[in-house]
Amino acid sequence: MDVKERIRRLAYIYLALFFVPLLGVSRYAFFECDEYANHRDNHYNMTAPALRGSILDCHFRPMAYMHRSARVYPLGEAAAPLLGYYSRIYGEAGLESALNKKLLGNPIPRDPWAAYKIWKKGGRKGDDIVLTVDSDLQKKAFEALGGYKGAAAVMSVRDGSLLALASAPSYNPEEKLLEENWEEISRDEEAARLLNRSIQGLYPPGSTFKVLIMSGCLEDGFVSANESFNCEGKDLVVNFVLNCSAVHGKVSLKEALGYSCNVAFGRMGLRMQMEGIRKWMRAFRMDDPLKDVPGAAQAVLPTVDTSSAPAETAIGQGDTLVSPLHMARIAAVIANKGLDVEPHLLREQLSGSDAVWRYEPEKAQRVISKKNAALVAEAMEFTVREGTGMAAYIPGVRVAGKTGSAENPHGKVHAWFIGYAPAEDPKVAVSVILENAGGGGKFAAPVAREIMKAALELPEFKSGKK
Amino acid sequence: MRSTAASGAVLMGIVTVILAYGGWALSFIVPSGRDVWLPLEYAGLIAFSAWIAWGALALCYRNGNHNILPLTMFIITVAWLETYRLGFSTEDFSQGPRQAVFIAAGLALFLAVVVCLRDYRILEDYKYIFLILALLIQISVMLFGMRINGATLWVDIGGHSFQPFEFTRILLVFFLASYLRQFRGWLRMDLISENWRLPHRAFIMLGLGMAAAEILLVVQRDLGMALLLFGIFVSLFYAVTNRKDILALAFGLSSVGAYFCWRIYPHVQERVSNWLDPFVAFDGSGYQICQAIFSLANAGLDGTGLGLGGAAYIPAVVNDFTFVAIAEEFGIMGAGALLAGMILLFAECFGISLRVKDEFGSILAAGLVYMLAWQSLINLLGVTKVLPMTGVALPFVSAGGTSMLSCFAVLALLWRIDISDTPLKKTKRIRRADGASGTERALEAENGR
Repeated sequence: MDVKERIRRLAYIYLALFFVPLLGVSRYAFFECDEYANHRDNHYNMTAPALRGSILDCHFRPMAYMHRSARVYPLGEAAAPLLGYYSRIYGEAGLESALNKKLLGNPIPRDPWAAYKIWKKGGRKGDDIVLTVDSDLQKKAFEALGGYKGAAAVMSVRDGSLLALASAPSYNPEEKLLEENWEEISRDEEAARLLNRSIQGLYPPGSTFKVLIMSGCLEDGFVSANESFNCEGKDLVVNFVLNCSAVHGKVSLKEALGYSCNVAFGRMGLRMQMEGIRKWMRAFRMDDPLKDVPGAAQAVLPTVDTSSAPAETAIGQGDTLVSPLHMARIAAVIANKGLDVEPHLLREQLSGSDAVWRYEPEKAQRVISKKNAALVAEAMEFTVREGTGMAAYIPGVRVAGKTGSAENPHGKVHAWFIGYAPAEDPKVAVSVILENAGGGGKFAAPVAREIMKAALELPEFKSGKK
Repeated sequence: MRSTAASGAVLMGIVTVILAYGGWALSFIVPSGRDVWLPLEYAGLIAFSAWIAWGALALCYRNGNHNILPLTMFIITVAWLETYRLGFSTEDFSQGPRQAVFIAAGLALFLAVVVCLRDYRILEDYKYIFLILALLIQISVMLFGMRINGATLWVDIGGHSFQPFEFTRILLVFFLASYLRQFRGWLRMDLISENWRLPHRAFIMLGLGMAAAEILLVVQRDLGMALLLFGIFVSLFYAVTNRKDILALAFGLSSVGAYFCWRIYPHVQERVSNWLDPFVAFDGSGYQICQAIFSLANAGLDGTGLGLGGAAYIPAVVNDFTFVAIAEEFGIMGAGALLAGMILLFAECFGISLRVKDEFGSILAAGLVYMLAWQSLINLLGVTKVLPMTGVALPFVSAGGTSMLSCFAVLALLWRIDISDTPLKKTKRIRRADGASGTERALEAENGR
């Protein structure tokens, strides 16, 4: 064997070694792509913004999309806490963060044939996400909050799709403005602009909780439909004074809800005991992780077990904490004649024009009997017709609802309203909270009225109306 | 297969199309406020000088290999487009034009070396001068060089920094090729003869020379070049002498040396731990390789497209990681095409070594190709995290004038060896039929053979 033969052999080895870098590239670009593309340190996907998918509303109108390598939010402030932001400096928040993986698109599949097909289609592009939210309603709901700190959740009664999740105060999510005003947006803990209060804000439910108490009491037989209570304006429960807004005198169950009588519901709470209240909170799925609503907070179930706690909890005080979404869900259960449908925010994931994922509704669960649901519904309608919720009345539409004024350590009471409309054929359930605004009937009910009015104007509900 | 001017012309045509299309594509991603057509103008400069160089060679040296230059230009073109584009992201807008000028200068140097170096065989007579020159250059770098990234590799001449090892490595290949060829007979003998005499001085000389160079490089913390020199030495030594026992000894000694380096030098430990798991030091020394991995994970089959990748987030991307940037923006397919270009180029170059009848020419050509190929591999395997990262430039791809000029000089030398194979009209030196030079003949007479 001479020198040239050995040179030739070494040459083959050298040339063969040039395939190794290709394997090295394939390792990261192909085989371990998933792991590194989604690595926690990888803030890198942001550098390919032209490929990021859009977020669309239920009529495929864009709510967030890429235009000339900038993220555009047509709704601006109105949807910012819901959609979040997308910034090359500060990362993502809200749905932009929760759906980041989907918006970036699937990594190239390992199957070479599938990879080839993607390549033929024009390469990788992030998937588009279709929400159940309606842009117009979202905008109107945000405007309806009228400058108050607060939130509104609007839910379709029939299928549980969330039509609007408004939260205020908000911010402008456009990348440039966000980066300019970052200090103001992120540091102001009082305003908490980045928080989507409609699903992440946790508040004491106030009197709106009485809807749940009434349902539970009727179901467990602690109260009968024709029972009446005597209200003297206040009641002493062990060492806790139950104050009523007025001396209601002898009230029926319906009137007790309609006038929001604390004495009557305090007594009902004592009959249920804490165990019963917790049981019914679970029955209304308040401990549900809400997997179909990304970012939603779980309710905090009451834990205090003093002898006066049931009375306190039954009127929505104590240590119970819920989000507006939870309360909208309770209204929807009553509207649905006792059936609970899963609230959801995502409808479809589109890859190009193909739906790669679609929301599959689960079977509706019965929470309370049809008969008892009808009793609660009647009482809620009475509330808007003659009781505390008269400000929510829409001419020509039968509205059912319940107000709430939740005492809290931050100042004036939180104004609450939950309800649905139209009562004879419920279409939308709504829940509104205005932080430290004052009484629910005075402040939250008109907001809910505007939102319900706007919701019933939506084409899908209008066409259903004969 | 003997290349023809026709196949070379086709390859040159392909390169011209890539340059034109790439220059046009770059005009779309030029940042606002900058001259949109500047990339196309510089692409024109590259195409023009490449055609001049290739055309001159094709006309004047019909028996040359006319595929080598187009294949090189293919690699250079892809790398230049990426370098130009990375300049936009790092806001170094003169990077692309500067690199284009280096390429044109490299082509001019290529022509000059081919034309001026009439007989490469004279190199054989200056082997000790080359060795001493190489060692002197490296020592002076150590004394007067600038410290960049923990390694003393750069010298500053008239405001321009350049990396002298780009040239010393060529001198060392000259030395090795000449020395190994001259003493191949001795080197093939047993290390320790029956009479228990000392090993032949050829062993001692070679061992000391290589050890001195290696130690200098290690002390200068230039691990990549130490690895490069070791690779060239081992390959050439094996090819010429077929001594596997010496190779085993060399591997053994260098393993011990590597172990002690690892024990002594913190920067070696850092390199190794960043190779094992770069994410441990994500915020520190591992950041570069982590970003490179993210870049590759972004690549996919066809890449993000020119200008849409994020490889500019890799620190010093155009020096060491241009291949990663190319892989990200042109995908696995683009990286594969670039590697295929390299394989074809080096296959053509190895072909020269195998075809040349002159033994020194063959060994020298082999040494030069081993150098280019092994240097490419050290970079490519480092940036794809197959080997620890050592910071060696990728020939024809990494940005920088020294690297570009020295690689073109090597290529010109290979080209010259190829065309010198046919007898020159005026042979200045009398040569024996077996190719041994006068020096060797005298030496053999002295040794009584």
